[in-house]
Amino acid sequence: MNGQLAGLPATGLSKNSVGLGLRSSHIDQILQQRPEVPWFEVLMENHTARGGLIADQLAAVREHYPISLHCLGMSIGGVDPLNMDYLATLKWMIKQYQPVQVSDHLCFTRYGKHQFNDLLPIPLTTESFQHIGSRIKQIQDYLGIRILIENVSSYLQFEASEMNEAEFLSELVSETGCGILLDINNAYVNEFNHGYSAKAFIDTLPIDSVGEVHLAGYEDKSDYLIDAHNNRVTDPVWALFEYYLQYAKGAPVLIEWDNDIPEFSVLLDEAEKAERIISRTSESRFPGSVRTDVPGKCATC
Amino acid sequence: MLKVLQQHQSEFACALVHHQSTHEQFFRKITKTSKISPQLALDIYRNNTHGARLKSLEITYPVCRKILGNETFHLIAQQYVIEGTEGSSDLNHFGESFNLHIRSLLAAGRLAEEYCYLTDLIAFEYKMHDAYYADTDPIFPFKQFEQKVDNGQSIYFKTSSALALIVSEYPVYEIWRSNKEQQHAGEIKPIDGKQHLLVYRDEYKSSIAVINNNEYSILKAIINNLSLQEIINNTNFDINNVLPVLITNRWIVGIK
Repeated sequence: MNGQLAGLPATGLSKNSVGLGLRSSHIDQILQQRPEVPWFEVLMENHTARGGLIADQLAAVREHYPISLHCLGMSIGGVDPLNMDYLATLKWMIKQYQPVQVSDHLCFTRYGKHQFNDLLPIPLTTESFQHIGSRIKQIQDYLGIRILIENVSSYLQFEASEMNEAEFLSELVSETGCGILLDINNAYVNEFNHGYSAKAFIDTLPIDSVGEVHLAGYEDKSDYLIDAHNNRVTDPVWALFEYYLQYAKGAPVLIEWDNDIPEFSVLLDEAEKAERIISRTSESRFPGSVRTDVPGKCATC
Repeated sequence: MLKVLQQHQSEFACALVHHQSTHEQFFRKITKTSKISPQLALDIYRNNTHGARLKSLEITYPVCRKILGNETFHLIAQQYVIEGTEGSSDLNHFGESFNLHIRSLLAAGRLAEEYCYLTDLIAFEYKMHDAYYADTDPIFPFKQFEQKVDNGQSIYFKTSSALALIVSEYPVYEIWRSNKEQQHAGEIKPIDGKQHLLVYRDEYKSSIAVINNNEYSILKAIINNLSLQEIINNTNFDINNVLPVLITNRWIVGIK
């Protein structure tokens, strides 16, 4: 299916709509109160059960909200053959839950018989590019959809790399038709840890291909940052988000929180903050565009 | 041939798995401009990997953790976590062979003999955990069953996908219940012979039934793919009264 992908249907989400990560501790509350959240992101690995409470709860959430599926285990950068059992489960979930997006990371998670439950970086070489491009095409062919590839936070970089992550992702988009999941927190963590510019990273990406944006909190170890997803989004990340929004084409935005999960209201609060920034940036990009209170007259005229 | 990628991943994986060795060759491949030293980077990745696995064990084995206490549990779990890089990407299954780890510690005298029941208790806790994630079962096909009986065809039953059998010389169920329900354990008496337990899922909740030897043997025979006729012909089994119970309780859910 190279080139002409059947693709997922258009997400149907409004521009820059701010969704939340679906976490099991919040599901009962979500189903009871039906908060006004435009969409939820579901960690694929947490919801592979085909029966019981987990499957029924996700089906119930899906009845009321669009979802996206976020994966951790495709091992797109791995040298082992693709795990077809894993992909078959994902394909079943796509059929079952009809997500608006499916994504994974630019990394490897498995080597031989060893399974690592972390996102391990790869050398960004021409060799890696050809290998990963081919794997993304295989995955997209098998699933029958376009997938999004996320930039990862990393704690090491390789001497062998011939291009930076943004260049690598941009080339993957051209080669495979995949989209990009832009994790702004990861870009900032990498800027802090490795010293390169997160703004330049964003500038290099083909912004039209950004299909989703992640915002999360990191853990500050003073000398370095850990992408822990256990905190509120920090000010430098909000600032970088605002920078991205100057160029944004409306990709849905996610508040990601995976560890030390707080009350659901805290996530809603973070989402509201993101919405305020989106609204403010939109106003400065397109002054007056949100005013519709003068019938027959454009607010900017 | 993926020369560079293969080599990097091989050395990276090796460095993550083998804690005691030095990894100079891998460290030479890492850019030095980062604020994070190669050794610190490796420690961060190890910590991330181990943290996720440790959390998975805590979720799967709450009763074992309570019995051993947090500190001992973490010491034992840490070793399993470091050595257990092989297997499924699904963290829900990460602790599947934790009972074997405990068994080896008991055999080596590194865990006190008073915990001899833990191997069985852990196997039981895992089955309880696993049942929660099991597939939804079909409704028993009574019509198909009748037709097969009428036609004299061989019948092979299918058990519930959540069903698991445990047999133990220890009062595993009583130990588990007294700790799970956070009641004072009181005196738990040794059992005479063996305890037969059946783990299943009752709608959403993993549940337990203490079953007798006959029920256990019949279910074991079904799992081992013996036909109904073979079970009837075996004089050790008394299936007449048991079969309706197995179907009513949805422990048998289909015909193969």
